Amino acid sequence: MLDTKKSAKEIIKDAINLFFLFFKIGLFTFGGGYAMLSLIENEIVDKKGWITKAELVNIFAIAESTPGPIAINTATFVGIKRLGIIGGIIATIGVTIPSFAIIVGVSYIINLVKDNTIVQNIFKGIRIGVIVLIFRAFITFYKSFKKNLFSIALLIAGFLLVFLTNISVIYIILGTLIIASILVAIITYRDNHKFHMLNTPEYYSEAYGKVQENDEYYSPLAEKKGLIKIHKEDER
Amino acid sequence: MIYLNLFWTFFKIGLFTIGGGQAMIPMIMKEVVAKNWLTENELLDFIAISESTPGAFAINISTYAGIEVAGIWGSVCATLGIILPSIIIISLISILFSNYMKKKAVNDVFNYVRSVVTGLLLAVFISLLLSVIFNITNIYDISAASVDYIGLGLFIVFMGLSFIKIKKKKFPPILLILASAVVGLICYQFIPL
Repeated sequence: MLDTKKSAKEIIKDAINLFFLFFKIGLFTFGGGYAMLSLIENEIVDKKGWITKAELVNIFAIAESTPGPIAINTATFVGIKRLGIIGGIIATIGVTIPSFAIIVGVSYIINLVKDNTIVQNIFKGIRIGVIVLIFRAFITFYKSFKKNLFSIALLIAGFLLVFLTNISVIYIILGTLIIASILVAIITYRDNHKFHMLNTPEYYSEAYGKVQENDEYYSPLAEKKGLIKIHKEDER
Repeated sequence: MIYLNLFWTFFKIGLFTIGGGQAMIPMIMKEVVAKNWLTENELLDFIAISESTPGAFAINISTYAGIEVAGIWGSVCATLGIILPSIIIISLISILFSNYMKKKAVNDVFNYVRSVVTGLLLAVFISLLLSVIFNITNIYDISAASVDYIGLGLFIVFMGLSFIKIKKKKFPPILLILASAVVGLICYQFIPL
């Protein structure tokens, strides 16, 4: 967190450093949040030593399970850890600017060439490739949640609502948040004394092979992506 | 006002994106296409471009939609809209409830959101398949279908291709897009319909 002993000069230097680091990370991230993780690890954990690897795994676990795109959440969080809220804003702007500039350029080029027959035929093929990518996203998501009667029912309900009606997807997700919160509140109240499988010290030590520290979290998605394995090797 | 509309729409999308950029696809599909900001085809083209350029999908798509709708200031508004929820929420979490994510209950709620998003992605996938390959834009007039046989063939080939693993890793998306660009060009340019 913010170190109050730093002089103004050091803080400004830190802020500039933070901005350009995330600018660099934004420039070289291909393929979203998960690709960004290894870059952050390389730049900020290995080279700068600003945060530890365990801290990064925690930040990432939070970033992927809070609202908002993972890449932006991670940048904001690392920035806050380094320089408080101002640091969070600086890191987020830093990671945003490269994408922004590149897309502004790309959109200009697209508008120049989009009426060309060859370009149109290229995009006809690409659209089908993208549909396959969306199918893969579906598979990734299908593997990412715990299956029970209620989650499968929600999957089917979500599918039918989008496929057969024109209800806004935002309302579907908002509705899910409300219904799931009520359900989870009821179950938590009922099972208050039962053993909880995820994010307990017991489950954590089983997953990571070590004792849970105060500020460490278990991340099922990170485990799927093989990120925890790195962490395990680190501990041996 | 268009700038405010762009900002607010992408603010909502940023706020309800749970589980990474891919979770945004159904929301973007519905919100942006329903508002006539981009056509379905433009959006598909852009997903490919976004996968092949650096940067987070969320920022890329909001910048692009913004610029197409209302020029450079439109893209500034849309991009600010998408990043602001993250800044607010992560700041709150890091300051107010540092133990918030440890709660099993929070994890459980997001688990259910992910299951709904899975259903949404499946719906988007099937809708796109129907509209791009079978030319059915509305599920209720299925009789008006006309099949794009080249597209159907390509779909089957790419589906198979995407299951090939390279060094035990998933077939890279950029390679898939590149392959579909080359094969698409050859097929659509030289096969007479």
